[in-house]
Amino acid sequence: MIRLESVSKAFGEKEVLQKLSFEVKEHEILALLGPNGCGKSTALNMIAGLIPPDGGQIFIDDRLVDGRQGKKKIHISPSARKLGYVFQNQALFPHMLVRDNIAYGLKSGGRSEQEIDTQTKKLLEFVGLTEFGNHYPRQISGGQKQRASLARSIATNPKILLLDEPLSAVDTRSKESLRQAFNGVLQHLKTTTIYVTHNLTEALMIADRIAILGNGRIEQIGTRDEVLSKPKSRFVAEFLGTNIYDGEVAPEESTRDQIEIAGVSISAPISDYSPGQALLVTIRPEDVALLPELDANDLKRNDHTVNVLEGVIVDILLMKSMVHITIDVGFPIKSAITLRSFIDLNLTEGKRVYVQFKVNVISKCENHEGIERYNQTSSLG
Amino acid sequence: MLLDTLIDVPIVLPPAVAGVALLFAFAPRGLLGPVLNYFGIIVPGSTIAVIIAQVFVASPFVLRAAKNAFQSIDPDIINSARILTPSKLRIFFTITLPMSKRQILSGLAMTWARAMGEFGATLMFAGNLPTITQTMPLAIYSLMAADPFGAIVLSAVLIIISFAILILIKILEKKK
Repeated sequence: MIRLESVSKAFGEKEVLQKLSFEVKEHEILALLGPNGCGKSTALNMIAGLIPPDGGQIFIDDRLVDGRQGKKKIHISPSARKLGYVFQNQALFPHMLVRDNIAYGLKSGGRSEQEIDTQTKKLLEFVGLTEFGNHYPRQISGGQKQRASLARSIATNPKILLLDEPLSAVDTRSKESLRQAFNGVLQHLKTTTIYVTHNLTEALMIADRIAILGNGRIEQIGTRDEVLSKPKSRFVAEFLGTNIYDGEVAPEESTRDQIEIAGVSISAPISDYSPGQALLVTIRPEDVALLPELDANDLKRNDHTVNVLEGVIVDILLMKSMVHITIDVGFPIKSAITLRSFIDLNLTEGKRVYVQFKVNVISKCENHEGIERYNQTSSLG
Repeated sequence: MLLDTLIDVPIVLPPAVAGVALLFAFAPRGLLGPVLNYFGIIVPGSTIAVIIAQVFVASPFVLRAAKNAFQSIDPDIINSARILTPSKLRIFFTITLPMSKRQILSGLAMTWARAMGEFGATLMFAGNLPTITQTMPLAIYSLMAADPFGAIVLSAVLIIISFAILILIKILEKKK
C-alpha cells in the first residue's frame, strides 16, 4: 500500500534519512518508533508529499508519487494522495468552528451542503465531540482538539492515515482515554495507518507492526513480539531498555551450550553460531526473576534450561508500578519486579540476592561492532 | 531577500528623495513620462501624483504587516489545508488571509496615518496646488504665514484623527 525505496533526505549538511526502505500493507497499522530527532516526522511529511525527498522512490497503491520515472521527476501533490494527516500540534484552523474544521476537506469534493452537514455531524459523534461543533478550537481542551483533528483527517475517507505523535501534546491525565479513543477509531476504520511516536508503550498498544527508526534508517521492523524478544541491533535493544551484553560463544571443547559475558559463563542455546563468535546478547528485565534465597528446588533447576546467578544489588530504580533492580553478578543485570514484590522482599542496595532466567529468554544476534568493553546500557523506553 | 529589502526602502528613504525619485520617473522627460505623455497623461502636479507619492511612501507599512502575518502562521496549519484541498487560491482566501486579517488591518491603519501626514514627497512630486494637490499638512504649511489660527485648527483635526487611528490599532492588536 505504501512503499518507500531508498528514500533519502538532508537538511543542509545534516543527513536526516539515508536509504530509508519499508513497506506498509493494506489495512495495516505500522508504528514508526524512534527517539526524538531521528527523522520520523520527516519520513511522514515525505509520504504526505509536504516535502520532496532528495532521492529514492515513494509508492502509494503501487503508483509512484515521488521519485524519478525515466528522466521525469514525479511529485504528486499532497491533496492528490488521498490521505489523512493528524499533526502533533493538531494544526486546527483557529478562526473556524470545530464543525467547519472537520468539513474543510469535504467542501472541495463537489458535495451538497446537506451532505456535508450530515457527514460532519456523523464525524463529530464518531469522535465524541457532538456538543462541541459550534466551539472554536481555542475553547476546547487539548484532547478534544486532537479528536477534532482526527475527525478532520478521516472526513474524506482517506485510504491512508498518517499520525504524527498525536498524543504527545496532550496532558498525561487525558492521554489514556485519548489513546483508547484513537485505538478504537483506528481498529474500526481499518485504514492503512502509519503512527509516528517516540513512546514504546503507545507503539505496542496501537500497532500491528513496529518499525524502529535510528541513524536515518530502519533498524528493525516486525511484530510486537519479534521486536521485543529478538532485538536485531544494539540500537534497538537500547531503545527497548533491555539488558545488552557483548558475549562470546564458548570454545569448541566446552561440553555445554555456553556464552561468556564479562568472564561469566551462562547457559544458552547457540546451535546457530560457531565457537568463539562474538554475539550481542539481550535479556528483557521482565524475564529476570529475583530470589532473596535459594531452596533445593531452585538449585536443582540450575541446568540447561535455567540460569541462576548470585550477585549484589547495585541500583534500585522505582517507576510507576515497576521497580528496576540492577544486580552485579559479574556483569550488571537489570530485573523488573512489581512494586508489591519489591516491598515484600525488603530489598536494599548492597544486599546479596540470586537472579534466575530461563535460557529461552536469551536473545542473540551477530555483533557487527565486534567486542567492545561492556557499557552499562541506558534505558530510553 | 532583494525584494524584501526593496519593500523597506521607502521607510528609510527621506521623503524629499522619494519625491525626486518619483519626479524623475514620471516627469515628461523622465523614465515613464514619455509613454504616459503619449497618451496625454501628465502625472506631476496632478491629484494622481498625490496618491502615487502617498502610496510609495506609506505602503511598506501594510506590506510589512502582511508579510509578518503570513510568516507567523504555523506551517502545519497550511500543510493541513494542502492535504485537504488542491486549490492554493482557496487556502489563501479561507486560511491565510482570514488568519492575517487583524494584522493587515492594523498595518492598513498605520499606512493611512503615514499617508495622511505625508509632506515631503507630495510637495516635491505633486506640488502644493489648492484643491488639486494640497493635502492637510501642505495646507497647514501654507496657512502658517497668513492665518496661524487656521493652521492650528487643521493641526488639531490631524491630532484627533491620528489619536483615533492609534486607538484603533491598539484595539486590533489587543483582540488578537
